[in-house]
Amino acid sequence: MKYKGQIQLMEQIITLFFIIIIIVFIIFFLTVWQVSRANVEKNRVEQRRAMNILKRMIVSEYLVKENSMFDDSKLTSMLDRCEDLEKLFGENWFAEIKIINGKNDIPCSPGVYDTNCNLWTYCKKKGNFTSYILPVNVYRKVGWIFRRGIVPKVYPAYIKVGVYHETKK
Amino acid sequence: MVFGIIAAAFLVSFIVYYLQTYTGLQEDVQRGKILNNFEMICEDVYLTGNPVDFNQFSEIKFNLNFDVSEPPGIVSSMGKTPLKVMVLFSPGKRVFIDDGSLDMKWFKFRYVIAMPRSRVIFVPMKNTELVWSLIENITEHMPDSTGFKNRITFGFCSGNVLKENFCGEDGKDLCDKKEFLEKIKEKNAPGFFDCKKTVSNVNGEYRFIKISTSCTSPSRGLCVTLPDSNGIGRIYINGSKNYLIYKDALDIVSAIVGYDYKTIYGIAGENLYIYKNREFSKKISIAAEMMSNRAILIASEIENALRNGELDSDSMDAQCLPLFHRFAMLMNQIKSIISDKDYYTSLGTTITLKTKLDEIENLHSKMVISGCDYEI
Repeated sequence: MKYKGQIQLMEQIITLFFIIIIIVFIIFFLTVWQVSRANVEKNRVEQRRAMNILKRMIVSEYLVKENSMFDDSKLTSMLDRCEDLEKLFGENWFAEIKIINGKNDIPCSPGVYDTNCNLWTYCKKKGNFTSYILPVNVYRKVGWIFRRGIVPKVYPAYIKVGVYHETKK
Repeated sequence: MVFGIIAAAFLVSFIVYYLQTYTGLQEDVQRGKILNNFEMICEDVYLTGNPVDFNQFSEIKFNLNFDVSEPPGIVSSMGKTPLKVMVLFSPGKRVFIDDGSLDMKWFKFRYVIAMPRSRVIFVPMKNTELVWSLIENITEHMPDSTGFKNRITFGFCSGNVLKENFCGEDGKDLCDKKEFLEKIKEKNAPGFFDCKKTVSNVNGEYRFIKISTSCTSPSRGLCVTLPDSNGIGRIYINGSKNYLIYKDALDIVSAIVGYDYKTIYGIAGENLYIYKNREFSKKISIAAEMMSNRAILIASEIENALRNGELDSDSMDAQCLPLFHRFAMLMNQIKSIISDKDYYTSLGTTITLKTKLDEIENLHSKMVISGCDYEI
């Protein structure tokens, strides 16, 4: 009976201690859950962005003749205009359009109408990325018929669009 | 006992504080998600052309505004949500989202409109072809809400007569875009006087657009002057000291979407007009640069073929050569006119720009007919 008061106080302190531990655990759990949800959301946003740029590119009047059919003269005209393309599609992405003709990559050059080149690359830099590929067509004026006019041809191709992962500064 | 009370009070206050913060955070998360959804749906509408009723702003308390300063976007308690595609946005709990384009033949300036349930009421002050043509042109660039709940409907007003319900099978329904465009052909307005009708506009549904040969600042809504021989006119907005210069229907549509609503950033109609013209400048200058490079590229290819004897000088493609050179030159001129940030505020610059744009449109049509280029 002598220590009854102290025992009750100890009981209260221990109960309080456990309650605080439970609360801290709940707070910790909720915070971790929120952070992991934010990370998942970040990845989802990156994937969605890559897909969105891809979808916007295949209908963009700056690059195509009609939906999913790129015009090679427009592609060549935009080759060294990454800054302009970034104004249209945002930053931190790249795009490649490659004619599937069984040949090695022959990069196209800005300002040169070369019907042998088969690869147009925009805004490419080093880094990890999330990318998507889609089959498309390329409309190309390949030569001259009997010295009278241009022969347009449509080639199968693919477009690859990637969004660079954000790096911590 | 005292210790227990102090501990309990401390615990309860801590839990209440934490829960308050957590609930606030959850509400912000929800707001963020709704804004992301809105942005995503606008992009989908832009890509697919399929209109959508967007009702999520009604799920939680929002205070939305549109800020035109770079990067343009929607401002809420979450900060600014920049928009990736051009969205003429008028806030509301339930908005209708549709796409459209300004067809210049060589380039389509594409946009999205997101606006709440609205009744666009035209007040024609004259019965002339020019008036009907302007009403038709404006309506063509507005959203088509046929079959949707958040409707954008059209009507007329003259004197005390408000004519809205003249569509549908029985001719008693409100008019969506398509039906209204059909009705315009009948050129049947209730009259050609200023609208005196008072309406209860608690939800801000009514948007009055007066079409007149001359305007002053209207007491409500907008007053649009008829276009001159260059296709240029003026827009006056209630509450605004200045008039806006229009060169295409989208200039007027942007002012209609924003209307005369006052926001913390100024008059919404004026802001959306500025936003439209800045985006127009950005997109057209890139397109002009690309099209100029492309024309030079194709012209040099034709010149090479002529030089190497691969192409006859009287062939169709050889005839295209001067057209491509002219096209490239006009594109460079457009680029230089539009490089002035405030090009849309000067009447002289707007006239020059409009003249050049019309010239390019005609030249491109000629090139398409001649088989030199294709239509977008």
